Formats: sequence, C-alpha cells, structure tokens
Amino acid sequence: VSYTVCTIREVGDGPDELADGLIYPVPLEQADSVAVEPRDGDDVKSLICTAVEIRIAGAKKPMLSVQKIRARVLLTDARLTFACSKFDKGGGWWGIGAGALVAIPANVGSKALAARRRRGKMLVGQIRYPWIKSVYAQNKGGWNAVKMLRVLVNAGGNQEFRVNLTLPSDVDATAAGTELIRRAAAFRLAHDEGEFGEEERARLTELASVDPLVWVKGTGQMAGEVFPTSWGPGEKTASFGLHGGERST
Amino acid sequence: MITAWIVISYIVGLAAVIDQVRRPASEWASADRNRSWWIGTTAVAAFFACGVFAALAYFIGVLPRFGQRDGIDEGFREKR
Repeated sequence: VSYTVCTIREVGDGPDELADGLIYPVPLEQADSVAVEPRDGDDVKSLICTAVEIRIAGAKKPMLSVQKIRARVLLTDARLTFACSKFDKGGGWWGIGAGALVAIPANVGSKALAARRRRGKMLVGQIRYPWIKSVYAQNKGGWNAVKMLRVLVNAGGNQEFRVNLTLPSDVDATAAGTELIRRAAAFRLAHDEGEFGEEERARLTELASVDPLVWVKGTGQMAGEVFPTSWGPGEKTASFGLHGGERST
Repeated sequence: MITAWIVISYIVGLAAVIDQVRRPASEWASADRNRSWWIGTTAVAAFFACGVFAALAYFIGVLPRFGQRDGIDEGFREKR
C-alpha cells in the first residue's frame, strides 16, 4: 500500500467497506469533514490549520505544500486527521494601474477554474497513532508568529515523513502536541499485542500522561517527545484496535 | 464635498482596520480569509480615500463569515 500521508479523494456519503478509511480518511459531503470510525471514540478534539507541508525527512523539496488554506484537524483516540475542501484556490494575479485591469479578470477566471477542479474532491490525510515516531510543537509569537505542530511519521524502511501543520497564531501548538502525544501513547498501550518490552511499556506509560510541552523561545528547537517504537503504514498497522472486523462508519 | 468624502473614507477605513486587527487569527482562518491581505488592502484604500469601498467589501464579504463557530477546541486556545 502506498502511503503519502494525504491524498485527494472524492467526497461521498461514507466508507463503502472497512478498508476504505484505513490508509486515508473518507471525506464526507460537508466541507472539511471526514467519516469517523468507532475507534475514534467520543472525545474528538478539533482545530484548524492554515498550511500543510509534507516532506521525506532530509529531502530539500516537500512532497506537498499547501499554504493559506483552512483545513480541519481532528485528534481522535486512534488517529490525527486533516481535511480541506478548498485545497486549490487559484488566483495570485496582481498588478498596479493598467495591470490591475488584467489581474482582476485573471483572478476571477483562475478562481473559477480552481473551483471546477476541486468540485466533489477533498484533500484528506491521516496519521494513525502506531505510525508516529515523534511529535514536536513550537509557539513562536509576535508579528511573525509561527505556531506549528510537527509529526515525524514512520514511512516504512528507514524513511520518515515530516508533516508540518501550521496553526493560527492564537492557537497553542504545544497544547495540541501534548494532547497528540498522550492519545497516541494511550492508544498503543490499549492495543498492545504483547510486543512491547518492559522499557517500551514504561516509556509509553510515561508519554500517556506526559507533562504539557513547553516551548522555550530563543533555543531554535521545537518542544517534543519521541516514541520508543513505531510501525510502517500498512493495512495491518492501520487495523490495530479494530478487534477483528469492527466496521467503519 | 471632496474633503468630507476623504474624511469619511479615512474614518470608515480606520474603523474597518481596527475591527480586522482585533479579531483573532483563528477567526480569520475559520472564515477562510487572509487577514494580512484584508488589513493591508483596507489600509491602503483608506489612505487613497477609497476606504468606504474597502470597508463595504469587508462588511459584506468577510464580516458575516466571522459569526460561525470556528471549531477550535477551547483547550487549544492560547491563554493570554
């Protein structure tokens, strides 16, 4: 199964079969929304991100970079999802004086074409908790504020994806990071199939109730925690906690 | 008459800019509108005595979108 964290999918009424939402979430008709599954639990927390960047760790160019968007991010008991209906906005033309006369219709046309391209589609992505290697956050404030949540995801083999979610400047990225760490650790502990050693279990127990992350200004580093183990994305690792055939809804 | 128009444009443009600045970033993100672009455009338009037009566009095109719930969990909001 090829997994690149996110993809563009057709919107629909919900998953047709169990495997539909294992690797990528299933987008619904409602803007920026995905189908939730029983594993997600009742306490789903939501926030908004304004940019998504995904790159293979160490690569110069990102695999995907979408800026100035509104994507709904969900933190559930089993995964982190994000969904953006308006992922292709068009526009970007500008001009002064006579140039403005060209830029205005060019923008109108470009936006109309973008709306046509994305009709019935949604940019969706998810990171299931077994795939997470580490979670980081930064709360850079001020005029050039950058609130960011960074998740390093096991990409299989020796590779990893670096997923950066940029949050609005009045959102506490460290609070979101802490919540993600706690939930991911709790999920792994709850669905341990006897593969953790004592040390791993102790570390996961520690992470399940980890103290709130504290980002220190001026250090140039993000605050975060590293998980003791992670699994590569695949149908098997995406099925942890399904309890033999529980169906997605 | 022209002086009155310029003064009104300044006042209305400034009022719109103040309203734009005081709204939190998450509200703008939720409304799917670019905060910097709107503040910049309204300020420049006000300076060139077109603040009324920019403010009108803001009041019609952006302001109604702010009323909706932004969907950010309260626990994730920065405490000031």
